[in-house]
Amino acid sequence: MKSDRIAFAAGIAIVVPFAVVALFARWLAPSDPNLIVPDKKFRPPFWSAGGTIEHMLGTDQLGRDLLSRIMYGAQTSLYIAVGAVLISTTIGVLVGLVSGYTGGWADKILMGLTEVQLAFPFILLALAILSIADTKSPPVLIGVLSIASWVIYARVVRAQVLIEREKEYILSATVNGATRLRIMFRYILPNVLPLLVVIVLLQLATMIIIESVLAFVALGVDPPAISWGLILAEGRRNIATAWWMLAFPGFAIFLLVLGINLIADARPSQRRPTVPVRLLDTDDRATPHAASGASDSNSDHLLEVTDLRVRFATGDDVLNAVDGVSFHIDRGELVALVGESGSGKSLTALSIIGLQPPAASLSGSIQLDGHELVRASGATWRSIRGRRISMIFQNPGTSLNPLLKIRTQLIETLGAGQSKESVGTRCADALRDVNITDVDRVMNSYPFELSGGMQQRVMIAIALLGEPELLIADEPTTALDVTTQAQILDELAELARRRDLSVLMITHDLGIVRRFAERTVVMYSGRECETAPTRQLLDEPQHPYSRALVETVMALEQTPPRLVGIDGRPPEPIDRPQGCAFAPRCDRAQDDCTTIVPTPQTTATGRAACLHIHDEVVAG
Amino acid sequence: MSAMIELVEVVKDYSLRRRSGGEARLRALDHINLRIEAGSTFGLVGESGSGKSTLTKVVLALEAPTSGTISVAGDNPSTQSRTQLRAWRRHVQAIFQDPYASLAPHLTVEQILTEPRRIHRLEEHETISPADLLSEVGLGRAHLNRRSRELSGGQRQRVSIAQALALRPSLVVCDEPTSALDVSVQANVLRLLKTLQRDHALTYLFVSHDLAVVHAMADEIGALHQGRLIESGTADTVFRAPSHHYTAALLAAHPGLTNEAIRTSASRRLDIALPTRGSVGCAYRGQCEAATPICHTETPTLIPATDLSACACHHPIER
Repeated sequence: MKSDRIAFAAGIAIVVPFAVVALFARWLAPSDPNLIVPDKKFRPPFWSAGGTIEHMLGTDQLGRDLLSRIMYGAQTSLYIAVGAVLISTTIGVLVGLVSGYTGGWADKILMGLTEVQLAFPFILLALAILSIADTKSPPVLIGVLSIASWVIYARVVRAQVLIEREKEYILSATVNGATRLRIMFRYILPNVLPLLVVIVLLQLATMIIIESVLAFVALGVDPPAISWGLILAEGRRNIATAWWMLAFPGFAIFLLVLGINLIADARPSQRRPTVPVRLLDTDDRATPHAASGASDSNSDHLLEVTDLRVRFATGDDVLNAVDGVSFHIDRGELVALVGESGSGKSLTALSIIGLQPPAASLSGSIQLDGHELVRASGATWRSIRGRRISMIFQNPGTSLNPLLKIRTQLIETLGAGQSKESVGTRCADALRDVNITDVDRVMNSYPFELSGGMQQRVMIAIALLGEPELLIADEPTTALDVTTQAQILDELAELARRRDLSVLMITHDLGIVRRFAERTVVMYSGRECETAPTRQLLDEPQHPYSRALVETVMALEQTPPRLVGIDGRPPEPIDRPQGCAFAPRCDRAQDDCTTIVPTPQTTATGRAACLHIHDEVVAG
Repeated sequence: MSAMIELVEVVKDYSLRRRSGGEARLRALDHINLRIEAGSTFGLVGESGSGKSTLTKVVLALEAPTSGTISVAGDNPSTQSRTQLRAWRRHVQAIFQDPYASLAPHLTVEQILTEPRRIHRLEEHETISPADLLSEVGLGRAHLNRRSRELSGGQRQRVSIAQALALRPSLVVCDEPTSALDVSVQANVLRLLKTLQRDHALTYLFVSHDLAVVHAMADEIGALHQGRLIESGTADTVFRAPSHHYTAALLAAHPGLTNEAIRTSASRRLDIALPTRGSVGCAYRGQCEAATPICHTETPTLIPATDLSACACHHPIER
């Protein structure tokens, strides 16, 4: 984001001068910071009465130049902070890596140690060590601060290592025969580093402050070393006579810490998704599109989607993730929306229930019973979601709240304002409706105590509590085993028949389409490709893409099975080719396919968006 | 023919810590006997929790069996020293399911393909160059400098395959290699695997939940249920005429385009409690229509059901 970049630049603009001053204090400082000139003591800054340009920021109680002292102080303070961060990072990263990756006893001992240390406040530990230290030179301070703070890194690194360790690329390296050392340092460490950078920066800021705090309580570096904390401490003692002695070092600390924090905050944004997104004005339509196919609004349809487009602004470009989709769903109808990755099927589904990402801009029309939803208000959506349109997702395990019993989750969905008994009965009925026989046990279970199939049934029960007219099911059985999948699909179809419920099934699996849906919409690269009754679509697909897709699956099921694919791959919406998006993979493509975007035409079975669909019929 | 993989009475138990204290044992693999011929493809089917991934982990020596003996690529990995094991790993490779997680995100394709050589401290001339490996899997030199996030799912999986083949292994464990890929891309990757098998005489242990894919790839298949191998045989026999009721239910439930959509009477009731794993009796008896008292008291063993298949059932389906 732009604001991040500005913050980052501002942070750099602050921190770099400080670093330069710290490094070259010896040459940059106007005078010797320890030169005592008794008759010049307590000179104010140059703009006040009695101030001189020679001592721009004034002098202290011994007549030493304050500006020079602050510059030398920057050197010591940064030296201590950077040193402490480097050493504590090194220790922390090593401990975190080893303990996270090897686990077992090493992990137990190391984590036990860190827990003991965490229980003992960081600053107290530093105080305790420093109060018994003989000398308090900068290296001693570095040591003390490192000992007190490495724990933070160890914990963070270990947590991240535990996440990375389970990833398949680590497994793959193990299978390749990589040694533990190689896995830790070549594979895990580089992937932990980005996170570490942020903590290192934040810790750097903290260290600068801690150093001042220690000096403030007379446990900072011993003179003649000069640190910001020391200057600050001297300033406090003379606060009544010389405000500048406290104000300027204080301001220096504030500015540097602010600068470091700005950089740290802006950093993570560099890891966000590659395409920066800016909000589009909802009314800014790219180009007017001719309404395609049959678009006269038909009041029999429960849901009518007409020329839906979902756009994201990326830099100067507009990304049409969904680029013109029209279909309808009747009451009680089971419709499937089929497509591969990047086809825009999920985004279409999310738009129908108003859950598209905030940066998305919608155009076209989505009508529920004649009411336009495309620019509906938040209040309208609240009255629609759950009550008229509900949705279930692919992974029931993460869709349910892991901390609440099923009973609580059902009751919360029902909302307030009903008697306890009627709530209880309604919840039990809802579960019975999705073929759960053991209602009491399920009600008193936590989600993790249920199998995937049972979890998805509970999700369906929750989704149907508000008696919606339309249920959107986004790959609801993909995470389930085949036998469970078949059963859930059959139950859902049966439930829909019983309640006159319409279902929009989002899937990539033609087998599921065949088993479940009455009518099917095929999407390719954000566009509607073919719509037809399921049986006809699978028996005589009209569009070359649907035909190739059906052939791929059919070939695999023959005896002996054959492996037939479609060459190439679906384009990302960002580099969708000119003209028909399928043209580069289509064996029937002609010249005009690469220039003209086809609009859906009526076919023998439904409609399809292909320029040469009728040629085929004549030729075939 | 010689065996690439031989498992004899392999048991793998995991101990689980209970919330109430004390330990429970989960029998992930229950006396598995399995022989996979060199140069063939063995397909493993089963639902989640059936023991598929434990079996692949044992074969890859990522887990040691609790009891029983294993022989993979001519050695028993559980008796080897660390150094021997590392050398053994040259011959036994794997391709994993998620192409988005199986490539190290910070390395370029070229680095990924050079890793096997560096790990085994081989000279450049002893191995196949990254560019040649890429061309073997149908990718070009242009991909050498890319990182995995710049590749599509199919391309990533091709890089995974190239990496697995870098040191010319004899066995490749394919763990759901195409289930994260689009249907239109899947067939091409599977065809590639077949071509590579022919060119390099590879043995595949092929695991997938997609029965049609397993049928297309495997010479022989084995069905796992609750940690037990309940049916095995040539792919065609098992697919066309399964002998075990569970295999039949699995095939019936597969959402295909050509099979008769058998309504769910044949598939199991979800809320039936399964018997404790590893206990006496058939683990499928609760859902099985053919179950009789003997299914509760005696564990069926894998015995020949037809000329080309074996089945662990007291009442196998007669054809």
